Amino acid sequence: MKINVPLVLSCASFVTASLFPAAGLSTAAAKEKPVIYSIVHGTLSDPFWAVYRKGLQDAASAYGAELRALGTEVHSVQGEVDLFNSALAAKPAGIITTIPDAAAFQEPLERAKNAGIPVIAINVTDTRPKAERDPYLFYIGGDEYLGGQEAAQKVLSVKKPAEAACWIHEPGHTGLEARAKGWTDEMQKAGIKSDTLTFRANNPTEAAAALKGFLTSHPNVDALFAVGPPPASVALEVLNELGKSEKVTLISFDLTQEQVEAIQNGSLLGTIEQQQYLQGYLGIEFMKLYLDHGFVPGGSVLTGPNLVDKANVATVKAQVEAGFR
Amino acid sequence: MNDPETANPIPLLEVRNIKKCFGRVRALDGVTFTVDRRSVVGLLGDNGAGKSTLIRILNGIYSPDAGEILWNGRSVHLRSPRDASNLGFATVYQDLAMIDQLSIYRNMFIGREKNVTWNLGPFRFLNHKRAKRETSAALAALGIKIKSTETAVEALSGGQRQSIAIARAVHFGGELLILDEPTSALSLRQTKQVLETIEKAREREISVIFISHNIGHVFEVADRFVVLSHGQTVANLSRVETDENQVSHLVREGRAVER
Amino acid sequence: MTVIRLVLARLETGALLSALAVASIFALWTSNFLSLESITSVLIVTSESAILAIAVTLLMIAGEFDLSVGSVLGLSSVVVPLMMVNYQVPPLAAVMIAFAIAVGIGLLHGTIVRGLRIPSFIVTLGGLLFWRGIVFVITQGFPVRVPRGSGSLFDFFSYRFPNGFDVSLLWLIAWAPVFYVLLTQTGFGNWIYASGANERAARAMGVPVDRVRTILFVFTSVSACLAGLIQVGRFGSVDATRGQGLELEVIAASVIGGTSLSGGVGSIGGTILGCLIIGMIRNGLAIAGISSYWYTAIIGLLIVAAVLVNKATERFRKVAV
Repeated sequence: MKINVPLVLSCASFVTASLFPAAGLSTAAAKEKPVIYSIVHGTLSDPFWAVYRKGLQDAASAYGAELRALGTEVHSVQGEVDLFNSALAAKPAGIITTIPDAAAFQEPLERAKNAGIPVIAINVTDTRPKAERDPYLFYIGGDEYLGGQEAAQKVLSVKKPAEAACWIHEPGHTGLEARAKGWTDEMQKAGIKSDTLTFRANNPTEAAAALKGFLTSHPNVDALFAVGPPPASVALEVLNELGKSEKVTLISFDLTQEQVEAIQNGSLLGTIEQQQYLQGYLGIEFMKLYLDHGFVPGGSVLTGPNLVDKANVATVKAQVEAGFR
Repeated sequence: MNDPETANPIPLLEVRNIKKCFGRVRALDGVTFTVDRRSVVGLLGDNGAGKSTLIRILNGIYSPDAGEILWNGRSVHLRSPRDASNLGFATVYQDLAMIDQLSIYRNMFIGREKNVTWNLGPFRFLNHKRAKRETSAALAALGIKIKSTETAVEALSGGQRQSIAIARAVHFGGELLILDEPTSALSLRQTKQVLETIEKAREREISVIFISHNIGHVFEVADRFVVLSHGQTVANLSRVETDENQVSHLVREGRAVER
Repeated sequence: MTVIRLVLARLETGALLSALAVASIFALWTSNFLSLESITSVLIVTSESAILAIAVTLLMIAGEFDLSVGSVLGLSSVVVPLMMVNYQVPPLAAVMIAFAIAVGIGLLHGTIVRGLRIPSFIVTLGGLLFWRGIVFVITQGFPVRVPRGSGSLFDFFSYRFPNGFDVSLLWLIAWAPVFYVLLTQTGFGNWIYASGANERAARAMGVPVDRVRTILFVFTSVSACLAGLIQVGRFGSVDATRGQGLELEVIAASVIGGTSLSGGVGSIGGTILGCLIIGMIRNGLAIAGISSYWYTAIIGLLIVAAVLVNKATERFRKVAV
């Protein structure tokens, strides 16, 4: 009986080893290639991050870098910081990371700086002026605040809403908050009151009920900004059910197949995309350029906001299907 | 029974005409018996005869509607299990006697840790050495042989467990052991072991109420037999007055055999 | 033979062997797993989860669950900076209030479980949702920053030195022995085991089972609060999702460390090893650049393997050598 313990353990280690047959080889084969880590604050199977990851992979094979792409199991700043610390321990050539919480990343980024590991921020970052902000090289991504503004401007270009609202589905996410702020500020400038809804969209039924409740108790609201695909999806359905698709102008952020179709059939006015494929691709490319030649661009590299509406949706659609958007 | 024989010393326990109803159900309807010092009383009766209710009354869990309990000749009211155990009642339930996963010596002192702890401010620390030593002594006193007091109880036989539970009750000053079915589900050899422990306890001036279905087991050790039926005492016989057949007839029929 | 039996008789053995196996696999597989940077990163994660998992283990030994610890951790961490920012409460007072709230929550959970006779699984599942909801309500979903200048107090909870070690490890080193002594060397420890192993028997033997469990609910909440403050110290900010999912991770660590889900069995050392194993796997996979899906899959395998190992060695524990 007592041999059972080592037996079970050796079985376990065998299973573990056989799960990753390539892992042992990769370190040997990658002698020349620089190891570049990418870390994001969400799961890489998310449609949004899947496109980003494709950008990473395409650039890594084009420029000859060994890519190690990491994400957390659920949206978690803490989990991402832990991954960042592990990536530091691996002493890579460079790290590309999102910075969803500047305070939480301050100490790890200082460690990276002290260890001489270059870091490029992507997608979401510390927006303070360079002298005060966390130490990283530069930022590649959309400008969330501008994106929110652009959404508002697009709506205002077609009508003057009586009352507006925006819906943040991941309360606490600074990027989403910035989108909402851009929208609210722009609406206020036009003299229009805008409410901010904060409830999650991971349970569509519950979220739909909550949105219905809001729209019923606020009958004047005739413009809604969904700051991401999950609330956009719920809002499309709710507006359709309530027969308010005509009355309430819906605009959203980011891009999915569903949003593309909604733009085509007119139930969605447009969507603001940040072209995250570029964030992945340029992340690797700029890192490689920095590693090889020390290039640093003069400021942030903006991959968005870019408006998708009826005018350009046909072109974009093909790219969504191909996995680039 | 109001006037016990004056020649005898005062019995340890006297139960007089105890009654207990639950709604319309008369669980006990006049139970009377005595337990002498250094004696084993077999309490017999079919299911529903009222044995469990009686045990609970002697344990302070229920209070009787009528009747009297005398302990050393003095009338007592048992308001809680703690009352009962402070007086010297010690009930050993077969299934609730031990915590399987814990060692024998830890089991010995569960709920009574203060006997083997040293204090540091409000904190009480176990003195493991002393606990083991006292456990060994308590077991040896009743002739129970165990390899190590560190053995987990789940590794013991049913007989060993029951014996240890009895030793535990005796060790903590039980003067009257109330054993609820101590031999049911035990093998012959294990039963023998438990019965021996009971004998040993009696030798140490302990009295025992031995509750069982198994008349054979009771007959091996009891000095007196009390038979309950439908909440009443139908017989109260000393060993010399009776035999196994008569008692088993009483238990079966719930009344005396006509001679 | 005796030595082998002695080793197998320890509940921690399975976890210790697994920890060595995991460490060796990653050491062979990745080149930097045994670097100081990597080891200290593992220790940071381990310390934070172990401080919480230890209390959860005691509660599991006593036969109850606390699924609310992640939310209570989130609430405690949010309350402190929020009081400092919105009401100018001095940092130390804010920390004291957070601990007081944690004690209150623990008492509440314990009282509901015992008073209304509702299983702790349900009560603390309610707690998980309720306290998380409260966090969202009071933060409105916005992250809360620790105001600058209050660093020195939070450095006391977590500060990473240039060599990589973090103050949180000292908290674990101080925290674990207290609970170890409590569990193995005191009468209360006896009651913890007894309450979980056989509740009815424990009651019959005079163990105040309800009081024991209520005290342990307070321990889990207070530990959640401490772990939360350590994370506040580490990150300097709190988002509304802080601590989400932690409740299952600490239960997993306890089970990997040999704690039984049905109560009565468990050890502090095993749980710390369980946390260490989880921390090493997280770190090792990240260093190797393996996606985090594998992490959850491996933890799943490990839990089942741990239970198998514990079953296989069970009989050695029953009989003293």
